[in-house]
Amino acid sequence: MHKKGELGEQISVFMFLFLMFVIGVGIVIGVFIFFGQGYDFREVEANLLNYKIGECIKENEITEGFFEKENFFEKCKLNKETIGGNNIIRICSGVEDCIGAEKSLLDVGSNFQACGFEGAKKNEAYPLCAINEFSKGEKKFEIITGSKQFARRNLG
Amino acid sequence: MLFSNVSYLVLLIIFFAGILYFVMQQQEGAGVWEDYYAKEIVKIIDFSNVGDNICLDVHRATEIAQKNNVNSFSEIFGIDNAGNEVCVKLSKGRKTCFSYFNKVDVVNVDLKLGEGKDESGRDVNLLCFNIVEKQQEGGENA
Repeated sequence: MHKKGELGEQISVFMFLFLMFVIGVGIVIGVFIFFGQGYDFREVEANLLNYKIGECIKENEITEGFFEKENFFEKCKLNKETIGGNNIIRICSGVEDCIGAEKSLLDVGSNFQACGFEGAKKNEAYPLCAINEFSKGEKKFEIITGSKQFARRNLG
Repeated sequence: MLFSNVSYLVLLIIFFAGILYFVMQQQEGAGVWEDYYAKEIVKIIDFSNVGDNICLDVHRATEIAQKNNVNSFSEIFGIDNAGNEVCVKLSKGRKTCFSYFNKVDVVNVDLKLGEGKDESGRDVNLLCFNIVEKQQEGGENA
């Protein structure tokens, strides 16, 4: 008789916790629906970086060591650490398919194939990319840039 | 029986405290606006060149921060030259940060109250700063 009473009480604990869970999830979903998804900046950032690199190549004389990483970041006034963590860059010249090319002038980061996947655009794990082609003198350049940076919420 | 009721009550209080904390964080859409302002400021820094003097309308951000009791204006916008990072704080407890790739330093960060005008002629608060050549040893500027 006593045990039956305990069973009823245990069931009500689960019901209580379940109700709290449902209310909590409802409030969280409601807030996110109300405010919408965050502002996805990745494509803008990839385009900005692509533009900056394009301008840098156009404005500078392309010497032999221009595309060596240290020299390139210094000449183009780009922050190596930030780009290494948040962006990808590939610069090609004279190749058909820069995304799949085995040889490039400069590679920062990896997984350039993701820039060619249509389905990757909705996947937050992949970078969003910008691809641009231009000529300087007789040389044709192709620049692929991508961004995988999201805002960070820190305590403070 | 009494023990059972007390434990329900404790659980309920913890639950509502958690929900209240979450809702307070979202008050006035602070999280969304922090994200927006951090990214817009980064966009301008990334696009800028050495020697540029920039002023942005940040009126909405300052209004939200005041409503959420972030009273010190220097707390709202933080630009860290050493870490190449912009942080925006519009509610107590948390801030949203985003990195810029342009190799420059941002100096003279100043919040000018009521010195700008929007399209309707209303006074707005401006965030002004200068872009200078990257120094070897960066520092916090706001």
